Amino acid sequence: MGELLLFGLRLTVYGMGLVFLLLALLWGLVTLLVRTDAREQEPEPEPPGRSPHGTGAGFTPALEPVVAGADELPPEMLAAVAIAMRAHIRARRRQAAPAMRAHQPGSLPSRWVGAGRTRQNRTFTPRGRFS
Amino acid sequence: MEHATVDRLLAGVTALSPGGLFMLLVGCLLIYLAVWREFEPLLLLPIGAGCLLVNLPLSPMGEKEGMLRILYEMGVGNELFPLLIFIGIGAMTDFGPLLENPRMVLVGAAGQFGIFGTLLLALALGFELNEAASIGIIGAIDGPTSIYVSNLLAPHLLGPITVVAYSYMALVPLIQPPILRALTTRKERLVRMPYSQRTLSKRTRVAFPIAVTVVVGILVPMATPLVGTLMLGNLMRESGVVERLTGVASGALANVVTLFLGLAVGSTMQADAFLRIATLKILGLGILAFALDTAAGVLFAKFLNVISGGHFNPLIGGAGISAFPMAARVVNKVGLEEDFENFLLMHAMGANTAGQIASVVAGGVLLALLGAQ
Repeated sequence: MGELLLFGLRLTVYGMGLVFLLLALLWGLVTLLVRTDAREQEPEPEPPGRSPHGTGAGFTPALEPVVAGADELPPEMLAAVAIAMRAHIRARRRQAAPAMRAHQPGSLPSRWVGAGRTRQNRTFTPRGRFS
Repeated sequence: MEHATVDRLLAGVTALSPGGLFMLLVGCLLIYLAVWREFEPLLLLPIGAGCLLVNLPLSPMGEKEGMLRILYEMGVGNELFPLLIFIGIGAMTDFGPLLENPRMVLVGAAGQFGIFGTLLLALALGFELNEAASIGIIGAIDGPTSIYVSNLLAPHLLGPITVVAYSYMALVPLIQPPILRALTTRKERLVRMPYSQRTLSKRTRVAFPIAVTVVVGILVPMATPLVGTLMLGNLMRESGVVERLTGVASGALANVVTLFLGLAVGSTMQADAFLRIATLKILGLGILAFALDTAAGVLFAKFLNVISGGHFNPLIGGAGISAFPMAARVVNKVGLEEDFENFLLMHAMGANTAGQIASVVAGGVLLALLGAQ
C-alpha cells in the first residue's frame, strides 16, 4: 500500500507536470498564432496626399462612380423600382439570407452581452460597492 | 395446463432476484433523474433504459447475440463511440474565447488536479493502480474521456464510472458554488477583468485545431485519438467549407452515437457487476474529484491573481474544467451575485474551453504514464 501510494504520488507529480508543460507549450503556440494574425491584420499606411476620408484635394478615387440616369425614368417607374427593392430586401431579411448580414454570425455579441461588456470596460465604480 | 408450461410462463417472475430488482430501481432512478430533474438527460435516459433492459429477468438483450451486447462490442469495447462523440463536441465548440485569451490554457491545466488527487485517494482506499486511474479520470469531468480511459484501464468499472461522471456533471451548478465561495474572499470575487474582443482570422481558427493535434499528437501519442477527433470536429466547423459534415457530426451523428453509447453503458450495469462496495466508493470519490478540480483551479487562479497584482478574478479558476458551458455559467453567476455589473462570462468561457483540451491531454498523459495499450 505504502509503495503504491508513493508511486501514485510520483504519478501525480509527473502527470501534472506533463499536463502543465504541454499546455504551456500550447499557450505559446496559440499566442504565436494570434500575434501573427494581429500583425497581418494591421491596416496598411495611407499613401501620402490622401486624406483619411478620401475627400481631400489630392484624392483620386480608384474608380469613378457611375450615376444611373434616374432622371430619364418616369416617376412611376422609379417608385415601382424603389418598392420592389424594399420588398426584396425585406424578403431577404426575413429569410436571414447571408447577403443581408452586416457581420458574420458570431462575430458580434448579442445586445445583452454587448451592454455587459461596455459596463465591464467602464472605469466608473458605483458608490459604496467596494467599501 | 402442464406444470412445465406454467413454469415457462412464470419463468420471468421466478427468475427475479433481489439484486436484479434493485438494479431495476436504479434504472428507474436514472430515468427519473433524466426526465424530471433533467440531469444530463441525453445520456442518463439511455443509460437508465439500458440498465432496465439488461436487468429484466432472463433478458436476452445483454446476451452474446443481444442488441445491447452488440452495441457494446460495436462501439464501447473498441473505443469508437466516445471518439465519434468527440468529433461532434469539436464541431459544436467555439475555441474563440480561448484564442482571444491564450493564458487561460494554464487555468485549464490546474483544473485537472482532481484526476490525480482522486487517483491517490482511490489508491488509499485499496483500489488497484489501473482501477484508481480509471476512477481518477472522473476528475476530467468529461464523459467521453472517462469512458475512453476507464474502458482501456479497468473495463469492469466502466458502468459505475460513467454513471457517476455524468450524474455529477449535471450537479456542477450545485457542487461548485459553495467551493468557489469558500475559497475566495469577497474582494477577490469583485475583481473586474476588462474584456477586449479580438478579431480572429479564418486562417488562425483553422490553424488552431491542426496545430493542437500535431503538437499534442507528437508529444503524447496516447492522447491522439481524443485530441485528434475533438480537433477534427473543430476543423470542420472553422473551415466553413463542409457545413453538411459539420451539421451531421454535431447533430445526427452525435445524437445516434449518444443513444448507442448510453444503451451500451447501461448494459454494463448488471447486478453482479454493479452491486459492490466499490460502486459506493466510486460514488464518493467522484464527488471528491469534482471538488478537487474546482478547488485546484481556484487556488491556481488565486496565484495568478497575486502575480498579476490583483487583476485576475480567482473565480475564473473554477471554470478550468471540461464541463462546458456549465462551469463558465456557474462562475459568471457567482461573480454576478457579488457585483451585478461584473461580467466574467467570456473569461470563464476561455478557461472552460481550455479545460476541455486539458482534460483530453490529461487523459492521454495518464494512459501514457500507465503504459496502457
